[in-house]
Amino acid sequence: MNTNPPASSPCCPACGQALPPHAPLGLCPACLLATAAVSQTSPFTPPPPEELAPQFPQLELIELLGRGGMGAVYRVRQKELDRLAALKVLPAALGGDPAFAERFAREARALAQLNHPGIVTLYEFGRTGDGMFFILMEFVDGVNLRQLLHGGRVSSREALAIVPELCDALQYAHDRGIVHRDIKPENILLDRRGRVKIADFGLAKLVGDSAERAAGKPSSAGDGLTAAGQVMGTPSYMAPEQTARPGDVDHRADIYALGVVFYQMLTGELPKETVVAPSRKVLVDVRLDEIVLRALEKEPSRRYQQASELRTKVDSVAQGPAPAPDVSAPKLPPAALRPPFPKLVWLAFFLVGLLAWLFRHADADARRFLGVGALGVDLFLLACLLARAWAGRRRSEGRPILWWLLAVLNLPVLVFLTMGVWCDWGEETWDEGGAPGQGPAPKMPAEAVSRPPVKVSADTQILMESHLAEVPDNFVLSAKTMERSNLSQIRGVDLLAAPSVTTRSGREATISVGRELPRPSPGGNSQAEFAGVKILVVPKLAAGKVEYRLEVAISELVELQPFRMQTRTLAVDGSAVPGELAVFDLGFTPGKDGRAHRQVGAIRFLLLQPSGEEVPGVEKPKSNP
Amino acid sequence: MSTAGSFACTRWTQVLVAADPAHPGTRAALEELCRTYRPPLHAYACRTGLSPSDADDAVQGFFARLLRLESIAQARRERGRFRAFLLASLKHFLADARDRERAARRGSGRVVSLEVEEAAVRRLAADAGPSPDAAFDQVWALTLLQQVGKRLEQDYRAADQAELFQALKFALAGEKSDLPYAELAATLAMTEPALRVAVHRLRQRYRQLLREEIAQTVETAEDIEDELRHLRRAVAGGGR
Repeated sequence: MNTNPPASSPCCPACGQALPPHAPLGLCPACLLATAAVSQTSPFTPPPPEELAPQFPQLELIELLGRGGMGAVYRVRQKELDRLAALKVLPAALGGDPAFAERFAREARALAQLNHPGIVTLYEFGRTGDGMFFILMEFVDGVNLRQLLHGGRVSSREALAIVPELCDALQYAHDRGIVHRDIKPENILLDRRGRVKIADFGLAKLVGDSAERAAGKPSSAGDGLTAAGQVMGTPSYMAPEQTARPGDVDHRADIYALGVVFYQMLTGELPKETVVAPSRKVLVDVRLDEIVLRALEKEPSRRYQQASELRTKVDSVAQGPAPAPDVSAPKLPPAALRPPFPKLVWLAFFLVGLLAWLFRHADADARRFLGVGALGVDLFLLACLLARAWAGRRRSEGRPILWWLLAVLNLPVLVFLTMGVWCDWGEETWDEGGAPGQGPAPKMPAEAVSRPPVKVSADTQILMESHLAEVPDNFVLSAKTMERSNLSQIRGVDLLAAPSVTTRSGREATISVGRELPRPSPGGNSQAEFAGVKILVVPKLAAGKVEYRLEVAISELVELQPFRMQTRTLAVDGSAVPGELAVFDLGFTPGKDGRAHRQVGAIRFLLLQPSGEEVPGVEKPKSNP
Repeated sequence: MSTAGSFACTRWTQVLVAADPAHPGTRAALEELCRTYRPPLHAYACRTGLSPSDADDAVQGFFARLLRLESIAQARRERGRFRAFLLASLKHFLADARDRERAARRGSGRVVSLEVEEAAVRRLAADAGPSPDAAFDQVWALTLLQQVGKRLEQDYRAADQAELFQALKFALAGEKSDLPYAELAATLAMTEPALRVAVHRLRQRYRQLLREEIAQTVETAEDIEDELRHLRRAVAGGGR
């Protein structure tokens, strides 16, 4: 096919290019494609108020309040009445869809039937000269529930104030055969005086007034529209039957959606497939669980059948014997125990206990920060307790004596922690015993250690001899990370993961513990990260008096300067712990700047001959007796 | 066109997956899609030096082979864009055909003639137009647009708005906002705002149909915009 048109062919008026002989629609293909390239899914851009003004001479358009998928809402003033109102305008493009036009008209008619303080009032609706649909309605000066929930959840006190009003409004609409079908936080408005109003009965389905339905004609216009495969609503808030059988939805779908909203207000989350009772997530009255769970029943017949029924239940909780909204522990007398930050205080108690316990069991390395952490939390706790006790004394409510008592009881803990931290920081570096419970090990350097002369048995001799060549096969070198309190993970590293002897050549065995982590910095090196380890060196040899030096070196990583070689001498008495040559604790001391805390590549084991050779040398192997 | 019913919103790869002899519907749909995109194949064949009637025969033979089951099974493995698949398959087919032809000539004892190749070179030299591949893409884009144009026109005709379509279709070329709305409104006896809405709707519908059409020939929805960009480049490159 020749795409080169003759010179006489017409040109595109837009771009000036010659038109090909079979130009589609007689138009320039390049320009056609250019038109198409404008994204079809470009969102609806609400016209600025000035542009709309000519369409609405009776209104003063003040500002654009917001826009959604289906249109934009403006704040306007009705000039004649000098009344603020909200104008909802829908994209003109929608006007071409007759199904939409029908739905729009229904929304407006449904709204017009409703006159209730809990429902946004419709003033007017229609279509402008250029085919744009609009709804003029009551202006609610405030926020919607979505904005209120922005921070997560609302207090149960607020929830208990909002839900009954929603129930009233819904019951009113349901009594008139109108189902909202799209109850969600965005559609629940709260004005400045805290009054609750439901907006957008946009998907409401007129059940009651459909005469055709009563006459037995199942496919009324309304049914046809909603049954056309279009599941209307917002998925998270939609009752199961709304997705499964959109045609069979009745007012109980609103009760379900209300349940979702209620649940979200209480917990800050949407209910999962299997609903977890709110009280198991947050501190709320357990009686609310029952109410919320029943509203969220999958089967409509098991829900509350009327919104008013739900309201009654909520009221009974709100005005019941435990009026405190956050009844955390019903067994406590309500007014007595209400510290200023109740949850924080309990959390602090728990934290102090946990940290103190860890502190006692941790090695030197971990003690540092555990101690400081515990001390900090404990000081905070003390401050809370004192504040509460002080407030209680001044307001003469509650039991200030209880708070004083707790504060006083807290003092020994504080002292203990302070002492501990003080002692720890006073110490230079490695201060833990070679083995737990053995007391501090003598400090380095190794030469300073005086050791008794070693009586070398034949077995030992073999060992000494052979280990110079390589770690003997019958000398089992193993390492085991021990659980250190309940800190099984530090910074994502599984401390309990089994370490492995990675190299074993010559007289060296390297044991890597912890896990290699990709280094986040652009340096590209990987690094290992781990905390304390216990390393067992177990000979299979028969027990004999053996003493030799075991050098433990923490190998340096190229870029981690603060590591130093740690050399330790162990006095090992093979007979004392049969089968277990050495058990000792490794804590990794940070360098002076402390930055490389716990970041070690590997531990190298060097089995060395005892220094100060009183032992017969390795050159002189003894014959087996 | 009837693909709207049988094929719209179904990606060609889905058709391939579903294509089995027991299901003639999808086969027919694929066949129809192939026939729709016959012109670019023809253009390609012509640009490689075949005379229009030879090119016709070649494309015919190509379809006959393509629509046999084994080709479809192969296509299932290849996936990707329908356009690329068709072109690659056609190249394959033409190369095969040339080989067979040569073999036949050798077999009949005739000296291999360079006549055909020479003719091709002459034609190409005489008409220093786009490369066969570029020609294929250009004609592909034109065919696609024609397809969309037809569907759009049918839509409007079905809604009894054929005149409106004829009067407004020029607005599809380029996203101009300075159309002579006032004059047009007067001639069409519409209000100006209503006319603007009509133009807007026409463009929306056109974009939608074009994307639907492209969607049939690509594997995933993400590929649509990419394919559209490719076609724009192809058309712009062929402009001169």
